Amino acid sequence: MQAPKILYTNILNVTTATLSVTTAAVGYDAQNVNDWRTHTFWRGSAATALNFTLDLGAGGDRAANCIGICAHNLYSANYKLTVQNSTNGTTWTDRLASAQATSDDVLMSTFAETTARYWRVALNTTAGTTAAPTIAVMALGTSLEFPRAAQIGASPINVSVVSKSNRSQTGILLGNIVKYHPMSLNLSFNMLPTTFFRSTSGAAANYGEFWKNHGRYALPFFVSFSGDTFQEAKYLMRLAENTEYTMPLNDSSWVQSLSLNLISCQESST
Amino acid sequence: MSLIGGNWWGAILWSGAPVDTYQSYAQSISRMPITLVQVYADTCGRSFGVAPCDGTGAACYNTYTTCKNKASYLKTTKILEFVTIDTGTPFKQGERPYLLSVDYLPTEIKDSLTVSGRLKIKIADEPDTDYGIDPYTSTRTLPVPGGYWKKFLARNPNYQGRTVKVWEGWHGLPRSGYQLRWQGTLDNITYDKDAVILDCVDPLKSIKDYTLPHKIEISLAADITTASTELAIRLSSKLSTYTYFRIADEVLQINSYNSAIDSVNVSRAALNSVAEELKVGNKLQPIWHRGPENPFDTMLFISSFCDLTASVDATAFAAAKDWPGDDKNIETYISDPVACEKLLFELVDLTNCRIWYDERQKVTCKRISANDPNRTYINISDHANIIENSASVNYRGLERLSRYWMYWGISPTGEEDKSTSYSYLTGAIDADAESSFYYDKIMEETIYNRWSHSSEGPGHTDAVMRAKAYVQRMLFNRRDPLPIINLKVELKDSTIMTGDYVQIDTDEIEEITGVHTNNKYIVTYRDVVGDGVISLKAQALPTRNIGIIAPATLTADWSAASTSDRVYAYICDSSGVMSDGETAGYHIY
Repeated sequence: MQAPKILYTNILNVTTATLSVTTAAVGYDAQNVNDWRTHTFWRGSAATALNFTLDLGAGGDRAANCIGICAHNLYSANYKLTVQNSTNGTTWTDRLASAQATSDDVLMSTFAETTARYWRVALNTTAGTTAAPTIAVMALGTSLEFPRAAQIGASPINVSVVSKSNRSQTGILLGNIVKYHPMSLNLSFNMLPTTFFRSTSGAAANYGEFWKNHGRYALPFFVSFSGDTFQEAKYLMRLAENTEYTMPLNDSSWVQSLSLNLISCQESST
Repeated sequence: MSLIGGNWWGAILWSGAPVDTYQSYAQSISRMPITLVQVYADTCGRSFGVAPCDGTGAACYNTYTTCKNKASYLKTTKILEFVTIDTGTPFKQGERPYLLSVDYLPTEIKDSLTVSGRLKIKIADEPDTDYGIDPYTSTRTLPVPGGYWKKFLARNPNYQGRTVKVWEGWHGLPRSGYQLRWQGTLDNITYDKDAVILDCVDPLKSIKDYTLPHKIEISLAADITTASTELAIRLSSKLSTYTYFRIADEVLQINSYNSAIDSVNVSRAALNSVAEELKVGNKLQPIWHRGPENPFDTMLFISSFCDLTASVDATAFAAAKDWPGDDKNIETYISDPVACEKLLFELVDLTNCRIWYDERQKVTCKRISANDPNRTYINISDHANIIENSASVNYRGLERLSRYWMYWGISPTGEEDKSTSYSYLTGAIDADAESSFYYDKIMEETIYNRWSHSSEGPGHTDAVMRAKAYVQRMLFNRRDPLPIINLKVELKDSTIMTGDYVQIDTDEIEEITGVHTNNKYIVTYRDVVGDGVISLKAQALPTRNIGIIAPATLTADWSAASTSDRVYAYICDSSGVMSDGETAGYHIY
């Protein structure tokens, strides 16, 4: 089983960068994909091919090896997705080959890491394209991969239901009011190298940086339970309340354990 | 996040069959209700800095308060939408999932159209990026800070009076299938613990401000003799429509009004009053005269006078007027201003009707009777509808009557609540009811009827007969108490509305033999109390059937007649009951 990955860095919202899209519907600006909110959307102005283009500015080159997309219609509206980058904004190289999503669920795909000033997310139509594309959350950056798979017993899905039922005077079920579906993902690891917590090899490459810059603010991030082993187990989640950052040492090179409780809410698509 | 995509909800709700109506979702065993609140906010129809707007510098927020070129401001409307906070974004069209709760006002059949409370909508003040709100976010420093409502209040301080609508629907239901549950205006916003509470009022609130005749303060500027027919008075346009005025105890009929010199020509001692020496300072009061006309037409006139025409269910009023029909024409002269709502409900009582402000935001009307061939009933039972431990009964033993008195024929200058102002008194007494075998006491009610008049001649006999019929009908309907059942039903029965006729099969009320009853009621109260529960009150219909002539095809044998046949009148036995020895006979209405 592959190790979990998280994607929390997002070069799309680098403050000095310019994010533009070919055309957006009025009121559905491209910046809406940057706010981690699943209820604010970017929507294309028509059912046509569209590009998100990011210019990080001279000297602002950034690396990426992963894209995450949540609350979208790229499958149901029949779009193909390609990630490209460029050194001049003119000549583009595919980094994530054109492919069609297999569902409107969370999409999280990795590719070989490269660094560039210009990045582009291209949405291309297919014969079945009928509606304008919609995306609520999109992140492009370098993922953080855990050193090993989660401990045995970890469940790739844990969803419950918050509901209220009413019974009649004679005890029969009259109806259920379903409110929402809380979701959680519990990941436990034993014996992780301390370098996973305090590596200096890259901002996104260690857990300490994740905690310091993202996790402790309860900001959402993309998580893949086990890569493509469980293709469907990719989510947009956040750390549960009262999550602590600890590093119980086994010795100076190894941390005894790490437990993460991630939470979210499963939305029903329309 | 959309872990499970496509038609997940639909698959659960209705395997195979399309689910696209409000009702089909309501009937499903499991569903996710969503409330949609719309606030109609002001916005500018122009673009900042684009002619004719000559605003410069930092862009406005397309509101009047933030406008930099108010001369070019073009007031239009922007609909702000909020949906239930737990259930995501059903339309993905800019709606905010910030809605915490809607505290509905119940709909109720009572003696007033207005409600004393206010609809309260609680909405979270979430940090918000101005997505879909500020058209110029691309010119701002991102990310945009601030809470949604704090920014709204700063940019839209003049929110009072703007329209608010509340819709109900289900996750998966297209927007077009949502049902309007309430509409009113925004009256106040309070901020409390990271949320705002919108206080909203219904459009009938203003009915309290209307009286007939108008309240005015006009006094005579000079003494006039009993013979004077020219009065120096300035009349506004609304007062110039009155035919009669009252000064002291005299009624004056206006013949003409010369607005150029503010002079009124009158006939003195009108409506059988006596000409008086009128003194300076005597108050002049217009007299509202209406009729003779059908009481339902008067009700519609009053509704129109109160600017309620758009809110009136004209079809319901027409139906109540047509069946069983034959209401006596009414006529009135009112010289002291009376609240229009009071006048309306006097007519409601006279016609044995109920009017109320219903869930469709309409003032509607129904005639109350035990039987009506045009009526259908919704079945409610302990087994399939009533939520466990939710039912109770008020037997209303104190609300029955054995005597009913009506004063009528009021003098145009008489006081409405003094018996000496009226020419006639008609009563109905049920001696049986007062006997020791029944109430063993007198239980009576007296009303003053300003709408019935009489004149000498053949019309008098008819007027007296009508008065007798009325008091007997009122006593007839209240001779036996009509219990009220309080119960709660699940959302699948959410289409049961106030005013609906229902047949309730419940063991909360039992027959003499101990079996549970399956009686007919009218829903008089409905309130959405949350978690898929709707609270209802249903009042039993009168048990005494009115006599409706049956079509020729019906069987003549009551004992063999079906339930639907028995809507029509059958001949009773010599003791006044039907052949089962229990069921009350039919009565001439």
